[in-house]
Amino acid sequence: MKETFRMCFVLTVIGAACAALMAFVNAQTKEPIERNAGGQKLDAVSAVMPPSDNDVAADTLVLNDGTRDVKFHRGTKNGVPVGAAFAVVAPDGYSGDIEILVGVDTAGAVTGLTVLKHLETPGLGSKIETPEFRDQYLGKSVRDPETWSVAKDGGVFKQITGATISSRAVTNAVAAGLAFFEAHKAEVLGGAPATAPSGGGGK
Amino acid sequence: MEERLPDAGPKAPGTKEKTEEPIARFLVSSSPHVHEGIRIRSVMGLVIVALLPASVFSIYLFGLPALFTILVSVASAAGFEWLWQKVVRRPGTAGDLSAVLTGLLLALNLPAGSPWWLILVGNLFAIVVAKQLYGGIGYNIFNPALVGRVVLLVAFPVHMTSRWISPSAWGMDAVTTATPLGRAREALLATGSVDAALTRNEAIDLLIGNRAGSLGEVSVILLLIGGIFLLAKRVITWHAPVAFIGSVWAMAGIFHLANPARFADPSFHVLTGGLFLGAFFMATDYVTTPLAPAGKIVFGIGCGVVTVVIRLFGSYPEGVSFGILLMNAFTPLIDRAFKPAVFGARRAKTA
Amino acid sequence: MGAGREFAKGLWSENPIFRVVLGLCPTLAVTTSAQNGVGMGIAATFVLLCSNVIISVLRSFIPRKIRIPAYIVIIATFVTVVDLVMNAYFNPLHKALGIFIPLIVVNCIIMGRAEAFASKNGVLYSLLDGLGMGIGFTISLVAIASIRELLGNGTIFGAAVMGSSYVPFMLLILPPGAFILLGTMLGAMNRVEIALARRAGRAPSIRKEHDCASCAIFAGWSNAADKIKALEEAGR
Repeated sequence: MKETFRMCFVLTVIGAACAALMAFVNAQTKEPIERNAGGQKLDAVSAVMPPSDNDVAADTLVLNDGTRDVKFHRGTKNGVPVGAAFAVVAPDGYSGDIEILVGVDTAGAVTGLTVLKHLETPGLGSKIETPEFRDQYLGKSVRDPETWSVAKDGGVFKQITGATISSRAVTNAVAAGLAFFEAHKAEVLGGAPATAPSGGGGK
Repeated sequence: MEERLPDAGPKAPGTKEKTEEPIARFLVSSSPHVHEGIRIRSVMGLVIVALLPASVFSIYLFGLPALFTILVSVASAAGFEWLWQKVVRRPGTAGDLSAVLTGLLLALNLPAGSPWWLILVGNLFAIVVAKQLYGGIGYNIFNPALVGRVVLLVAFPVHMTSRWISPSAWGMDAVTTATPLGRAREALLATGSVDAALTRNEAIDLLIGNRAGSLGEVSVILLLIGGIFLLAKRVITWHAPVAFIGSVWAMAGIFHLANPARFADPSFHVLTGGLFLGAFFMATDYVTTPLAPAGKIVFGIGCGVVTVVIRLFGSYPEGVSFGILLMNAFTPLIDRAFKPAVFGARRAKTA
Repeated sequence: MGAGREFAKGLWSENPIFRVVLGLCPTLAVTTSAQNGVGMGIAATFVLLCSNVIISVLRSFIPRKIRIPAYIVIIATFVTVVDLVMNAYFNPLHKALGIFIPLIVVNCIIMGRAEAFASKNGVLYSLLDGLGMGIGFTISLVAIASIRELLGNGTIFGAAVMGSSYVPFMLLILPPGAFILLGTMLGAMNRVEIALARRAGRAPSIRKEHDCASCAIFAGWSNAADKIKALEEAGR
């Protein structure tokens, strides 16, 4: 009986002391962690979009493009739309779907692009994640260049050596996404369509 | 001869040895391997001879780059074997030609015109990592040449999958092109259907080897001739190759019947890629595949199934080497399930 | 004499990764870059140091029957502290190491030192033991990670050092490369130990289960002799 009591007592003391230590550290680190976490949540979306000051994670609009729902995140600054971000899916990658997050400004030019998910061959198709490949889409919009295709098919985008299929799939998916955005620009940017017409926000 | 039962044979029931410790055997055999090198050499020699038609033809097709690849690969394989035995001071088995065969097989698994360093890294892994670190010939679990190939495929995918030279004798105006399997995948993704329904001419092209690919996989006919030669010489048995090729054909056939637009017809799968090379020359390796006939059949079917699954659904176009390596890992289990006849017993009966 | 030895044994003779072969999960998983290796090493060292000291202080206070839950609570607390602090102030590194920070809780090295050393020794020795083990772990991690990063990516601590014509040996960055490299390094370390022991005229301190004769692969591979026999049979 005495031994049992002692064991309970020791564990309780240790547990309480540990809890106190953790509570203290938690209180100390709470604020910076929240700051980091907040940044992380919006990382992907806000990284591809022009700088905005609204809650881009919450300000969304879902449209159906005929085969699937596209979720647009809208970015505004001082209440004026500055751009949007949306995910496109390339069904024709080398292996499985490729999910790409595309950011655009109000003129429809690409401001950022990041690969969310893919199953391409490591070292070949997986290079669609590299900045060298992604950055060539920056500033491009649905009518500039004229034809959205990789160099091998006569276009302006350089395909990855050994991974033409992946490069082609990304290019086509981004082009389709931009066209869809263009067609629904007013709806997506919403609220303040007056600032939307070409030349409004872009280059 | 019959008296000297192999040390691995069953212990006489009366002996009071600790059967608990199979390990003890390995302690004993861990350093000098005394085996009859001359016999191993003659087997290896026959396999090399069987590979010669396909090798010579690849040189005819791809020109000097192919010759370069074969020479560098064979020389470096033999070199690494010799060097390793020098370093660990183990009596030489370099003379048994098994390293030469590994080098040749690896060369036949590479694209013509591979850079020298690629060939060297491949052979380093084949000979040192896959073979010698496991204890040398007889103890390696995985086919050394295939380990070399897969290491290169994973480490240098660009060099291994996108620099195929299309056949144009002596490599003067060689252009890079896709292999038939690569083209089929590309057509499927671009148009939604495999453009690989074999016409008679294409089938003949595949048979005689008028296509892009690694050195040894291009000519199905010459590989088949080599395989039949080995069968006739009784170096290999029919079980593993037939089960392997048959299961690829059957499985590809099932998928093709289910959806002809998405999956190419089975003959295409049988004639392309490294299937014949793998089935006759690697799925029949003595050391890394099961000993008993039933085990060989299980092994072959396993190889075939994995190959087709990777070709149709994987992120690599070709699955033969992965299929064989995966089944290599299962070989000890298969051997346990299908006990091979004790060697010596058969001979004793006939004597 | 004792103090220096307790510290130094973690560096070589009882190195947690290469000699005792513990903590392999983080060793294989996070060593894709030298920076990750340093981060993981420091985090584990901190936990090891704190838990060793506290457990040593409390060693007569904790009844034997409940020592394991008590140790776990103490270790888990320090892991949580490290996790929170890294999340707050070293966020990119925290993200790179991911789940392996919380998993320090179940890292055998820490529990192992608590049970085998700190619960039986004084505070000073336990502190030195934890520090030595932690530094040994860190050095080993950084050694593995540097080789993987250098050959697999052509960089060290993110700085390109191999020149532009170097073709990265990607295998080493991928999981199979971690196993192959670790195995090769373990073998080389045993080799060095054997040579050192021979020179010093003592028996090499290689645990029985770490030499090739005890390897499960070989034990399962009892057909090797049959295979050679079959090969020779065919050559008749």
